Amino acid sequence: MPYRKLPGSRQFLLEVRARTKAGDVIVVAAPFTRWDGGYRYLYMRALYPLTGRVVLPLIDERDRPRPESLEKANVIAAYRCQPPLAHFAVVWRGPDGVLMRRIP
Amino acid sequence: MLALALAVGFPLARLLDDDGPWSRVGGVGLMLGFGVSTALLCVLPWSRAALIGSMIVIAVAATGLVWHRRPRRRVEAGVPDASEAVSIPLLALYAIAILALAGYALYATIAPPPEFDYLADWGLKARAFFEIRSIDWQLLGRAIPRDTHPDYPLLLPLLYDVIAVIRGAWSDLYLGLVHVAFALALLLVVHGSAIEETRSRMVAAFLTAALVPLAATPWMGMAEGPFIAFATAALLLLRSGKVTAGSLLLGLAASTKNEGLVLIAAVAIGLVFARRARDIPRLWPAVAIALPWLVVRTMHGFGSDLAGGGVFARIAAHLADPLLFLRALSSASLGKPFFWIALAFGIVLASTALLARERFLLTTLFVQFVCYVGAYLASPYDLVWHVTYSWERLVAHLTPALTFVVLLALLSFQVTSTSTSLETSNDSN
Repeated sequence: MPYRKLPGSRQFLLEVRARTKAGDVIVVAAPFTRWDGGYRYLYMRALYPLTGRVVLPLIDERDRPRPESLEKANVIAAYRCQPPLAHFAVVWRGPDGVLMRRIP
Repeated sequence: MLALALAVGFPLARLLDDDGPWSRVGGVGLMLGFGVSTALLCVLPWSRAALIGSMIVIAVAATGLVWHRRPRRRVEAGVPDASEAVSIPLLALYAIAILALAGYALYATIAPPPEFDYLADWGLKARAFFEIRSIDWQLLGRAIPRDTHPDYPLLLPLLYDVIAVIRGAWSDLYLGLVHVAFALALLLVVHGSAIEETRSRMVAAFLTAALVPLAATPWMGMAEGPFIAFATAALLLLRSGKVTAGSLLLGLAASTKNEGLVLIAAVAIGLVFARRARDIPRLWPAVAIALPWLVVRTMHGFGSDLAGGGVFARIAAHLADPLLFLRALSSASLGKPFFWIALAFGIVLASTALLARERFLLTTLFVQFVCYVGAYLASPYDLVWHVTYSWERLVAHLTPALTFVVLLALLSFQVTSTSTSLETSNDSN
């Protein structure tokens, strides 16, 4: 079944959908540093429940970091991690991740 | 939505196949209805009233046209032999087909489509388009080619959107019913084609029941089922000389998966080998339906991952290491081992009849198969991964049409043998 390799990820993404709105730019953060080492699994499955939002990756298919995604984002959906970012504050915390919003 | 699609498509199918059996016209009609409804989303505002209103207008106009053009005495090519009694075996075969399809409907609706390709491609596009009530070109522009395939044609996502627009909301809970409808449509075409050819309800019922597992694909939410339905129905119609109807379905196949574009070329080659080259210009509807998306995707720069940079170098590298390719093929499952053994035996037994009568279909399927193998050679991905995750689905594209002609040839062989032995017996008496 989908999402089974990352327990709790489906519910986490549904919670993110419920707490964001169409037009939000969301970066998906996860404790994976390689595209095919877990990040692709989460990112590609995040797109469907988060339709209407712009969902950007933090790394690309060649495992290169995408810092420009963070510059565009106003929301971070962090699965089982909490990136230490000065311009974002945690607005919701669930059992499998946190939702962070850009501080105005 | 199914009723609307059928109301639109059935009269159109009757116009194109005026002497065809009802079952085939129904199957083709359902598929044409799906095609028309998705085409309407490309030109109309995405509102329930506009979509339903337009479909009703088309249905009424097409029905009026059929009524106006009706022959005084319809001579149907596909009337079953009246002397064939309704028997228990015949009813049992129909019951098997209906029960198997009902079981498929349960499987299809037990949960929303779970496949990765649905979540990352077909379903994602459909849901994202519905959010903005339009094709989301920005999403396609941002898409990751390996997973979301922005170059893939949009008929299936738009068909999911037709359902959402008519319902007025997005829900994926029962989207699997789309696959059941496509399987049903294909089985109706199989039934009608068999009736037309053999005039035997028993043969038609047997073929219909036998092809249920091939029409009812297990990949929920993905384009395999709709593509197999469009492509197989197109091939069966083209095989029996219904070129215009076949071409329309061929165009819809090409609007469902890129493999359909290859199929148009394969059909043209098949027609040449069957000495029907004069029919090739009559394939223009297929090209006309497929062309707009090709133009649009070129304008937006949505390239295919297979045709990406260094394609010739990749082909050369894979050809230089054929063992890798063979290892990849041998490691991929085709499923259903008993089916393949039986099909191989059938092909051997019926080889004479097949080579004599099925030159068009066999050539077309062979060319398509060769193109699939060639596509693997151009793959930019790990070959074992690529073959493992697609080989069974690709082969499933070709299986229903091949099984249809093999079974038909075997049944004809059986009938011929029976009549020959009867004649010999009568002579000796």
